[in-house]
Amino acid sequence: MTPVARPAKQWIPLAVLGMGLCAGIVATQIALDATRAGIPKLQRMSYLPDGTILKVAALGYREVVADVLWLQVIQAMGDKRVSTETGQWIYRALDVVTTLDPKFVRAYEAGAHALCSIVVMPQESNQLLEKGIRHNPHEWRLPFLLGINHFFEFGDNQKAAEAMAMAARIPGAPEIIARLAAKLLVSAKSPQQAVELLAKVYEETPDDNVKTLLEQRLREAIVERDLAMFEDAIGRYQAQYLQRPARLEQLVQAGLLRELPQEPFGGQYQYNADTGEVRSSEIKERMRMTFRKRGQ
Amino acid sequence: MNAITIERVTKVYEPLWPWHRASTVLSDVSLSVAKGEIFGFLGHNGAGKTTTMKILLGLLRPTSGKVDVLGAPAGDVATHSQLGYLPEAPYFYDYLTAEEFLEFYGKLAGMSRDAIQCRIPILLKQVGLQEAQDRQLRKFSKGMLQRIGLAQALIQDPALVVLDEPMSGLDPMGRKEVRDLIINLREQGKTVFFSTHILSDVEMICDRVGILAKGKMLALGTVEELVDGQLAESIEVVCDGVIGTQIEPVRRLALRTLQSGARCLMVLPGHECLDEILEALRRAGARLVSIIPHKGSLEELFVHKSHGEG
Amino acid sequence: MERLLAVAVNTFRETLRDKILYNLVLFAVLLIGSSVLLGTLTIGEQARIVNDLGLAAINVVAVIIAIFIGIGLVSKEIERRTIYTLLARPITRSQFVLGKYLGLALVILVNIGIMFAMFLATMMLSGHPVHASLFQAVELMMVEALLIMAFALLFSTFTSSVLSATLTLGIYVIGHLTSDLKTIAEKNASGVIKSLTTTLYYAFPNLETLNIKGQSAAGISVDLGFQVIATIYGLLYTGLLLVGACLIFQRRDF
Repeated sequence: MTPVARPAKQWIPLAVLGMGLCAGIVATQIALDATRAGIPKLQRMSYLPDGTILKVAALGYREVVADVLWLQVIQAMGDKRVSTETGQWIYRALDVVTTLDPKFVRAYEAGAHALCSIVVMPQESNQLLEKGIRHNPHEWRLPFLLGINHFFEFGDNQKAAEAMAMAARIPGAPEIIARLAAKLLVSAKSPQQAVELLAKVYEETPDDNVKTLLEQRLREAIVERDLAMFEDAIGRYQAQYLQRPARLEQLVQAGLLRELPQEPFGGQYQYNADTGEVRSSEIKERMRMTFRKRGQ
Repeated sequence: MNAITIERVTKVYEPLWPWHRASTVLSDVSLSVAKGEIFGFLGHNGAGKTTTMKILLGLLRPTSGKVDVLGAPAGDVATHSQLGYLPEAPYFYDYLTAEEFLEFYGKLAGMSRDAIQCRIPILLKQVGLQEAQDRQLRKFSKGMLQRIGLAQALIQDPALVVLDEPMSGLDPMGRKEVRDLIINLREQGKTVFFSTHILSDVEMICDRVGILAKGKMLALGTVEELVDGQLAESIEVVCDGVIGTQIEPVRRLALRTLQSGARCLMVLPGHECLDEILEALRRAGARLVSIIPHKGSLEELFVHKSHGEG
Repeated sequence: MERLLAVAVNTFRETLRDKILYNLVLFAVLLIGSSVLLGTLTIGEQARIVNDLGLAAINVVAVIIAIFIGIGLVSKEIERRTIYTLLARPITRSQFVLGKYLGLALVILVNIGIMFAMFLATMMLSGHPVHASLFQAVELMMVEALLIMAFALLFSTFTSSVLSATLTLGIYVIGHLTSDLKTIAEKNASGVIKSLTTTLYYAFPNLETLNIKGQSAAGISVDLGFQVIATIYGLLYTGLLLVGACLIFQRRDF
């Protein structure tokens, strides 16, 4: 075959030039990396437009924009030291992410965690969760986390119990939530609600093992409810007669209780007239949540 | 010295995927065009004419073979300053006016601004587009595009002009004008290499002719060389008042007969049998209308050759 | 060089006559409309939002032109067979490619320039402060557009228009993500993924470097040294792509 008739060596200078350019690119890239490292990431994206405006600007790609921003948030969270300023930015970015994509459950969840762990911003964490609950009423994790926050960060048993109860009622929530909620309700002096909640969850659970566990807790809750009832009645008796009743039956006679409740485990309610304490013969330890508030 | 030398050029399109078949567009094509010659390149659509031209211009690289254009290997852009090309069914930048278009090509050819300004009116007049100077090409008809394409090919007064189907899309008047233009170019000492499938054009103006079919050169030479000895002459006789096929000598000797009412046309193979036929016709009482001798034409050669090949 | 310029001028003329500058009208409407509308809607952040919208719109328009005209630069000439008559002229293929590129580059730079002027006029008329950082952002946007266009041109020398557009868009997206991917991988990934993202980081253009919209809209200037190196980086990368385009184009059959 005869060689092809074309100036064949044209490519050589181009190839050499190309290699030179490659070297230049890598060199400048390294120089850029060095400069860039000095600029904190957040300064580069300090201004984040409002979520509602961004939602319009993102056209049909809200979820993608949300994802990209979410990646940025994760990186900010992952920094070795997270300042309060960064914390503020993280909250703002999370707010924007969840405005763009209100169904982004993971963002609420992880964000709520982060705002209570890597920085101390429980108020913002709760706001985020409440927003998440509004948009995702079927996700039990969000009210669950809200309950945790209320309990651990604010020590507010009542709100913690309400949130936990909300979580427990959502289909798909593990039964332990119901038991936890019941405990919280009892701690929050609402044993009747605990009983109702457990009874409802008990009804709805198909699993027999779970039913057994729930039954146990339900009985405990009934005990708590009854004990609370006794305490209340004894208190009123004392106010009326200026002394403690000698026996529990006196409460019925005084019209403070309609009848004496049955101990649900088949035991008896024992009354110590000296201390005014009522206890179940079957239960050693009462339902209580104990915790240590942050910084205590 | 030759303006174009093509030696044993083969072009094979390698398949993109291994399970496709490679297609051979040109196989072992050789030809040469002397300086100052008009060379007609004949062939059906798809015979490989355009491919050959693209190889000449360096737009395609041959798979094997050697191509020289104006003393340098094809594709050497230095020689392109002496070259003009009109592609088949040209389409040009339709947002340009005729003048801007020629100006652009003049600049590409390395002409000075003044030279371009001098050249444009001459060329427009030559191709009959004086009035369309300021019109955008998008408003040009097909024939006008063909003409402006020709003007473009001639912008820098090149020594070699390569024209792909220059007469297509033109009316008979336009065809004649292009023929005259090509003859005019020869008078100026230019070399013209053009392809066509319209044979009468070639017969009239070409110094030499090449016939290409299915990527192979079938014949190469002057029109006379090709026609002489390749085809016998024939004679066409037309007469009234007889049914040709009822006359015995006609039936025996005529290559073809065509009957239309009382009129009969017959094609005879040569002079030798003419007397016998005429005698028989006279006896049958026919009235003679015409006798036309036919020299072998390139068309018949072309048909003959490409049929033989097919 | 003269011939290269002739091709560039012709490309410039072609693009303008394709009515490409009509995008400017759209841009003006968007800019003025948004500043008027937002003036009534938001308190305090109006300047920022107009800044933001303006810069984003300039960027988007520039990238769209770079991609969608860039891919047609060479392929349109091939499809319409105008390239035959061009290459039959005493012009090398590299000159042709570079001329086409230069022509469109001119269009894009002029376009960005006009948009930026309109943007500045809006800012000044509505009494917002004009920061020097805006100029920095727009300068790097020009570099980015040149880079993207070189990609579009490179792809269009060997694939179809649709595929070129897709690939260029892909590069645009990846180019904005590589630095983040690298940072993520550095924090918590195995060695393989780490080296993969590092390779990606150096192989693909780091477009995030050329994107300083966010901070410049907030009025924060970047270091001048950074600006210069980033510009050089972008232009070197563009040069490499153009060399690639020339190399491919030289070996092509038409």
